[in-house]
Amino acid sequence: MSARFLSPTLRRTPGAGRFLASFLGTALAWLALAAPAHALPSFARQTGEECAACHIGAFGPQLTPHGMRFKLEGYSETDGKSGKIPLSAMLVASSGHSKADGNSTPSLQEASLFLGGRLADHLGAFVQATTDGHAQGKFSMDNVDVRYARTVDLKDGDLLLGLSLNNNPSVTDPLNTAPAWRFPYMSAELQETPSPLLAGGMEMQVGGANAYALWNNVYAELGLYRTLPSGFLNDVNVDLPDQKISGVAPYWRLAYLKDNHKDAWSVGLMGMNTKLVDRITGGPSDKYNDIGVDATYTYLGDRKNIFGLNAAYMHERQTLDASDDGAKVNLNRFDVSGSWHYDNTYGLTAGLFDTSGTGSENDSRGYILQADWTPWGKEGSWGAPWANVRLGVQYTGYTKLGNYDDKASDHNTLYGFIWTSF
Amino acid sequence: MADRKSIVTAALLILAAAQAPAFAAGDAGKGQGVFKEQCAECHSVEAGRNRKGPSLFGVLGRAPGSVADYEYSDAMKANAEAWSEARLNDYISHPRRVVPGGKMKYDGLDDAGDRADLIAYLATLH
Repeated sequence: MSARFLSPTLRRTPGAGRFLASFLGTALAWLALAAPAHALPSFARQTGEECAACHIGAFGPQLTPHGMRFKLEGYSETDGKSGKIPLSAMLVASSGHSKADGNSTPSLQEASLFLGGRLADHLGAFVQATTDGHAQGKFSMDNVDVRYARTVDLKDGDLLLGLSLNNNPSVTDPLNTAPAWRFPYMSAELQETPSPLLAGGMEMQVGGANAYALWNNVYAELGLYRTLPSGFLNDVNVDLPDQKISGVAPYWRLAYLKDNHKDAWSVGLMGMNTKLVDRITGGPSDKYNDIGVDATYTYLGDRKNIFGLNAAYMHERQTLDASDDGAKVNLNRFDVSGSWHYDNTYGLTAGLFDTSGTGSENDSRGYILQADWTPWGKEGSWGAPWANVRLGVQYTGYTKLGNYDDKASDHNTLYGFIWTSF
Repeated sequence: MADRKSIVTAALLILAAAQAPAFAAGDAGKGQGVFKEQCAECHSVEAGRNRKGPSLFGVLGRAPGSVADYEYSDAMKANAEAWSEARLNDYISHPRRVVPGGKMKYDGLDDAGDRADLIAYLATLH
C-alpha cells in the first residue's frame, strides 16, 4: 500500500464525474477478468508480504529499502500467483482545532480509490482518485504513476531501467525526502506556506514522461513535463491552472542509495526548470529554477526499533517577467524529520520546516509532532492483508508565518485522524 | 605406540573441528535476528506461507524447488542438490553464483558468523 497521503488541494470543476465512471469501469473490467476469490487486492496481496515489509511503521507512505525497490520495479513484483486484482481503497476521518480557525467536527477528510499493482509483466500502476468532505461525492484525479521496468543482469550486478507516465514531479521518487512524499504524510488543511514550484505547485495539472535507472546504488531519473490539456483536466475534475508550462519543463534526479539491510542511507540532488505563461494568451513567462539536496538515514535492525532521519533543502530562483515586471525572487525551503517506530506499531515523528527568501512574506517556520498507532499490517495481524488502520494525533506549531497578518501561534493546530485502507 | 596413535587421532580431530563449517557453532537466537534483518521481507517461516520467496519452514534438508504452490525459476528447479547446511552456506554467500538465473535478488551475506547463526536458526524450523 502506498498512497498520496498528504491531503491534496482538490481542484474540481462542476463537470460530471466522468473520471470516476472511467475508473470504476476499469475496476469492474479487472473484477470480471480475475478470479472472484480475490475481490480486493493491494500491493500486500500481490506480493504475499506484510505491509511492514515495504513501509516503516507498517503503513504508507514511508518506504523501507525493500519498498523502494518494489516501486522502482514498477509495482509489478508478485508472489508468483495469478488472479490478484490491483484495487484498493482508503478512508480518512479527522478532526482539528486551532485558535484562528476554531474546532472542526469529526468528519470524512478524504476517500480514495486506487488502481494499484501489477497490470502485466513488468508493468504496474499507482493511480489514485480522491474525494473529500466538500466534494459531494465527486472524485478527482489524484496521483498517477504508471510504470514499465526491466532488470538486466550484468556482471557487476543488476541494472534496473524504467519508464513512468505520471502527473506530479517527484511522485516517482523512492525517497521520503521528495516533495510529493515527505512528512507529514497526513495532515490537517494547514496554513499555506511559501513553497518552491517543484514542491507541489504543479501536481495533478501536468503530465510527465520519465526515464530512470538504478545501477550500483546510483539512481538517476530524467522527466519532461507539460501542462495537461484543459479538456482532460475538466474531465478528471481538476481545476485549470492560470498558467501553463511553456514548451516542456525538465525534471532531474540523482541519488546514491545504500541498503545494508541492517540500515540504509542516501544522498541526492534534484532539480527542475519551468517556464510558465498565461494559459490562454501565452506572452511573457515566469521562470522557476529549482535545485535541491537531500539525505536520509534509516536504522532498521531486526525491525523491532526503526529510526529514520530525512532532511531536504531546496533553493528556487524566480524571474517573474509575466506576473511581476521581471522581479527576481529567491526562495529557500528546509525540511527535516526524525521518526521512531516500535514493533512497527507505535510511532513518534518530529519535523521542522523553514521557508525564507526575498521579502518577509516568504518567511515561515514551525514544527510538527505526531504520535500514531498502527495495530495491524504485520504477518498474522487481524484482517491481513485486507485491512490496515492508523490512529494518530498531530500538533503543528508555527513560530513565524510571514504571509499572514495575525499571530503565527494562533494557527497552531491540534489534529487527530483515523486513517484506514483496505 | 598407542600414545602416539592417540596423539595423531586427537590432532586430526582438532584439525577436523577447526576446518568444520562455521555454522556448526551458530547461535539460533542471534540467527533469528539475522533472519529478520536479511530475509524476512521476502520469506516467511510459517509453513505454507509464501511471499516473493518460498516459506523457509523446514528448509534444511529439503529438495530445492519443492515447496508446493510456489512458482520457482527454471534455474532453481534444475538445482538438484538438497539444502544441506553446507549448501545453504554457499547459497547465502553468493546466491547468483550458486544458482545462476535464480529469482532471488540478494547480493549475499558476507559475514561467516552471521551465516552460521542464520543457518542454526533455519535448522530450528521444523
